[in-house]
Amino acid sequence: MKTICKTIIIRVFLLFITNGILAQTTHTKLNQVELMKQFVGKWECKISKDSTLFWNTNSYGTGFEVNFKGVAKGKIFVEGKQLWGYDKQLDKFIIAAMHKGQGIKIYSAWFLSNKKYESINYNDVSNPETASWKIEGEFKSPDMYIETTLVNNKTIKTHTNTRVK
Amino acid sequence: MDTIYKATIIVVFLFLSTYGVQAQTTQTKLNQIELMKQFLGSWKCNLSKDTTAFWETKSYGTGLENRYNYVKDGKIVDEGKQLWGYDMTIDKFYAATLPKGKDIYIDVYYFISTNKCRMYTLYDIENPEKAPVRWEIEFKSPDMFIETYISNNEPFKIRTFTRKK
Repeated sequence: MKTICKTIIIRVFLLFITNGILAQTTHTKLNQVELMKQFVGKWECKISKDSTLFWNTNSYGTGFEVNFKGVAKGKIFVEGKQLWGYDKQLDKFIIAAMHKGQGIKIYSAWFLSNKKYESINYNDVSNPETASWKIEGEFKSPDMYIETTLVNNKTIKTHTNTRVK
Repeated sequence: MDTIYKATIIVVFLFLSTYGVQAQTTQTKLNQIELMKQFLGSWKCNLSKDTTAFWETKSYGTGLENRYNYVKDGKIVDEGKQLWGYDMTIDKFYAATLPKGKDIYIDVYYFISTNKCRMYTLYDIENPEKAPVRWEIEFKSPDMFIETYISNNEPFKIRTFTRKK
């Protein structure tokens, strides 16, 4: 009788622990589709004294379509289109970026917290920690985010993007 | 003197052989960017008695952008956007497809002759010959192409697209 009682107590204890872990996992899983919506809208980013990048991000289903252009002294020096879509197998976004007149690049991007995100080349998605090229971004407010580009863990550049109203 | 003469003949022979092989390779290399332009325009495909697929493909730089929708009994039942861009490192196109409300996926497209294009998903890029599903498109004329889905070397779905005029 004593053994049965002990077994029941242990099982109930294990059940509570398992439930606790599951609940914790559910709480911490980020909703990547919702978080990406922070990018919706028009943005500008001064990349030098006379050059500015303009981004226009629109929702399309659970993904986004993006048009961008770089303008220097009133002339467009780069432009392109992007499609961003969620991949539930990866629980990350895949970004297809096409620069007009150049090739296409495939990236992956995901939020690490409500405000912080990372982006790497799609080729590195199975081993993100070994990616030589990486972007780390953070929303400082709904109208401003900062992106840092790293190569081999060294900061190459940092840009501030602000919402165009 | 005889040895020098023989050596000279061998060197000249090897030079001519190498030149010939290089010339042959250059001749057989397909211009993927030019060949993809065969997809430009408006296309339709009768998927079943009451469902039709419509494609609208436009040029964008060296790539293509595509909008598609499936219409059943006069109503759009599926729609999406695509970006097709060339990647010179693999001498193939990546096609990013964002179906509205669904996950994004990336396919690899490349012409194997002037009128035949082969495709497989990005997941299969390391071992395309082992892809569970691949598909081929053959342009029968500038206004008609046939898309064949293949699994285990067996065709299992064939669709015919005709140009809308």
